[in-house]
Amino acid sequence: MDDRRRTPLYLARASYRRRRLIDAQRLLPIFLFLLYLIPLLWGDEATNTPVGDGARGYVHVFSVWFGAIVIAGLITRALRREDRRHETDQTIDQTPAVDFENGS
Amino acid sequence: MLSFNVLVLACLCYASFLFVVAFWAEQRAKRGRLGWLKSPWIYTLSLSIYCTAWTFYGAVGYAARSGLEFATIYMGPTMVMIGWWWILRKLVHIGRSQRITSIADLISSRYGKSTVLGVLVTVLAVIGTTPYIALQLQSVALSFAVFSQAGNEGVTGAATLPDLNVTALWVAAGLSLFAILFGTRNLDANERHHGVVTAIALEAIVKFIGLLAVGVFVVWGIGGGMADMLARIDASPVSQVDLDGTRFITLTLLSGAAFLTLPRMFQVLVVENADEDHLFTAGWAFPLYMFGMSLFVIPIAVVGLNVLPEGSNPDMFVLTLPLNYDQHALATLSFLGGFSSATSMVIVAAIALSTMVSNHIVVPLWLSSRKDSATYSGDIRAVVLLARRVSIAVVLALGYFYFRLSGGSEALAAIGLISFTGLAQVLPAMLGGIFWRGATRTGAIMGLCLGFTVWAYTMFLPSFGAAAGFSTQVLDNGPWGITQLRPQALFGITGVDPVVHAVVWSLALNSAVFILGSLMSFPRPVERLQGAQFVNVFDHSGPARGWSLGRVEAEDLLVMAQRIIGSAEAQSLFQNEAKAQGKKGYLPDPTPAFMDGLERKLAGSVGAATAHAMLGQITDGAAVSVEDLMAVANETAQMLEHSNQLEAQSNELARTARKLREANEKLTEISIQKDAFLSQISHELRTPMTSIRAFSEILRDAGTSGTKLDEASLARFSGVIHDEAQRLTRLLDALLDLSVLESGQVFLTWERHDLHDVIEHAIEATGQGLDGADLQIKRDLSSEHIILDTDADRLAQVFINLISNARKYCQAETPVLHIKTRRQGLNIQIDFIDNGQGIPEQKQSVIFEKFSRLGDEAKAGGAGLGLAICSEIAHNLGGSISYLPAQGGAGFRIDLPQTRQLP
Repeated sequence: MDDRRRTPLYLARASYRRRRLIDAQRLLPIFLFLLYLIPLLWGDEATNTPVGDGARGYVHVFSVWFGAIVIAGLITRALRREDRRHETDQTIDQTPAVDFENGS
Repeated sequence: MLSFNVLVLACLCYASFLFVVAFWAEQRAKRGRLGWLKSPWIYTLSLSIYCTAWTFYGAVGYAARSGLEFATIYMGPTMVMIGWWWILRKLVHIGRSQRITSIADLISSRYGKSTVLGVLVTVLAVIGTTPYIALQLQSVALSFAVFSQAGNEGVTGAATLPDLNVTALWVAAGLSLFAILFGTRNLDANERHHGVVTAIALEAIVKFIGLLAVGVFVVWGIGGGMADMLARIDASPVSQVDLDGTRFITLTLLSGAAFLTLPRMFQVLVVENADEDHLFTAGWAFPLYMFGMSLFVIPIAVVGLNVLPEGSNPDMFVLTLPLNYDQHALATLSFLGGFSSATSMVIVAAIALSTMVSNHIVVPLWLSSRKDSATYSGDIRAVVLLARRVSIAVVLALGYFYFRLSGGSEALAAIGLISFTGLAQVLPAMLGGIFWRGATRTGAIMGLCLGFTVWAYTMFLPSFGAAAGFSTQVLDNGPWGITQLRPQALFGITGVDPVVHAVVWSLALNSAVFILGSLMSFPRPVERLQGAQFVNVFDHSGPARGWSLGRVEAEDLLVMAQRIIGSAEAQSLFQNEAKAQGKKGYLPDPTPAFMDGLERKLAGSVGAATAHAMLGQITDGAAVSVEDLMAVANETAQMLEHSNQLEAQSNELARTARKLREANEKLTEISIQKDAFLSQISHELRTPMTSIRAFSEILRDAGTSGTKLDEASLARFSGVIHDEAQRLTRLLDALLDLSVLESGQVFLTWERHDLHDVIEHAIEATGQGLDGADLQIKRDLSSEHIILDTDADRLAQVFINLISNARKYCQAETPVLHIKTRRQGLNIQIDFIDNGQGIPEQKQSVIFEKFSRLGDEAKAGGAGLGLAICSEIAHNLGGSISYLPAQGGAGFRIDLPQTRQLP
């Protein structure tokens, strides 16, 4: 109830970007999980290859894994940059407020 | 060939190096130079205790048996870490804001600070972790054996294996020593163990390099690079293994769950976390670490199967491959890697378990065994620390005996998965607790019990085989021939992998009962408050105020807090709170907010349930009723509708009101005192005056009338006049001294002195500590030698005053005065504590005022100026003097800066 009162319905550009980055961060493990399961679909008795398709599965799993780590790293970097920008904005906004309080 | 002794030597050197590093980090942290000790990289590396000897050695064996399936053990945690925004962020935030000390504490605290749940989770953790510790001991022992075998074959050909049991025993003893030394330094489990964490980070690097080096050697040294390796993999039996889809998915999810619930992982992830922002880095860096750890596992397995003779143990390929090619340095490095993985896991697991055992089993038992006097007698700190140390030793001993009894089974992986499944039983209660306000204690207890039972029946006990009564006959036909109850085919579900069977059944029944139990029961008030605080942890600090404004004596609280967190820390906590409330001294008003904060602080040391119970004993009659609590909750909910500013304003108002009230009380008291003093001082002045006048009249009359007074009378009369005049002078001197001090125009001679000499001088001057002294003085001579800038005469004057006060007012049968000195940052604290009755609370705020006296009788002739002068002197020396309550007598504390503070 309190949350709704405080955060406006539409966000400024900076916080909007931050929200979407967090969305990406949240979705990443789900995509990673789905992609990682793909080798289970490969190979069966008809083609005489084992399920997971041996070396191909190995390469696939490790590529997906590494890709996810790189993307996670990039998202983190972008998030931290947003945070830093956000922080400097806030300190600029807050300075006069503090002065006012001290004065009164 | 590498001799066994050289290996032992290398191992010992490495271990002592770890001790040195841990000690160094601990010292550095103590001096407040944290620097990179609290960097996110150290945090990330400390997470690596997930990779135990099971993964260091066992992963290759696992891959040799089941191909790619080994990756599931790393993939689960990778997803949890990459998706840290989902669960970990909240978990870490809760852990920090609630001062959670262990996973048992988290569950117990969330469900209304329940003791039962704390015990349940602790028992589960001990049962689930012991085999895992045994596994680490076994792997270290085995790796020693591999080396000695290789060595002995080369030299004599006679295989004289070192006794595995002896090796394991030595390792266990060394590890418990390390864990006790560095894991039980501070009582507050919520504080970081810098020594342990740094040593573990170092071990993380060693094992990473160890495994990577073997991998690089295998791919580019034995094989011919990546392309050649892929061809080899394709040709190898490793890649011919069919992946079992359900097992693959189940194990991935299971390892993800275990990553959150294993006590040691919870310890490094949540408890030792120094900064929530570290998750930003760990979120991708730790998956990268695990990626590196598993990248070369398949190549090593493939080449090992290819090159090494038939029947060699694939669990030891990491060691036997380099040895086979006579790469001794590499083999040693890899051996140290394995050693590191085993030791770091055991150390953290032992610390985590010991915290749980001491906080949730030993302390509650100890408290209930002395029910009536729990809060007032005995040192809880010593009990808790001893309990932790003993539990560390016991946990390692249990691990060692498990290792002896199980006799070292061949496949390491099986035990690991059993342990994972056992601890994953905590997951429903944990996730439900942090995301669902409706989760209740009843549900959590039911879920945990059922999950635990099913796990034990389908997985844990069958692993012992016939020894635990699970013979093949029982496994095939069920107990007493009831086929529906076959341990590995419950309710007729056959043909499923036993691990998947156990995981799915235990977790499904656990979650179902947890949810049903929660839906059908009604939570107690404390549960509801805690639930709201956990689930809404990010929406400002919630409305949970469990304590009403009852008649709680702040002094009782201080006595208890001192027993748990130590006197220095408790005093500064109370002092800060008093300052924040706008009060002076050490005793703040026991407001609900303060009680809440105090409880949380105590929980950091002894766990939420115990802290709550102990505070409950003190508030006793004032414990809140359900209606009260709900009313409080409703009120606070309405309050939230108002803006924060309003709240701040009302706080400000309350503070001002409190200040005003205090000032008013003080003024009234001072005015009464002043009146009393005026009559007192008139009296004091008049009595000597009267005698002087009377005796001088006698002398004068004798002079005028010419009657001769005898020598003796003459001497007596003039002696009385002289004494009385001196008394007057003393009184006036004191008044003069005080006014000089107050105006700040006093001349001080600043010089460097040894505090010990000043105290010595003061004691001599009062004639105490000599023969026939009526006051016994106890000091700690060694701690007194502190050099400080001060005016020695003035300081001694303060000491003399305090000592003679103790002599005058201490009414104990054998009066004892303790003088304690200690350094506190840049300040020096000198405490004078006697064993008398102390000073009643309403007097404490005025004793430093001028003309104040205890009681009415002008005992020992003081005019009530002594303490006022002391206070002024301390002030002029740049420090302060204050009354120290709750010491079992009157206690005074002098705070002095060590060096002169120029204004």
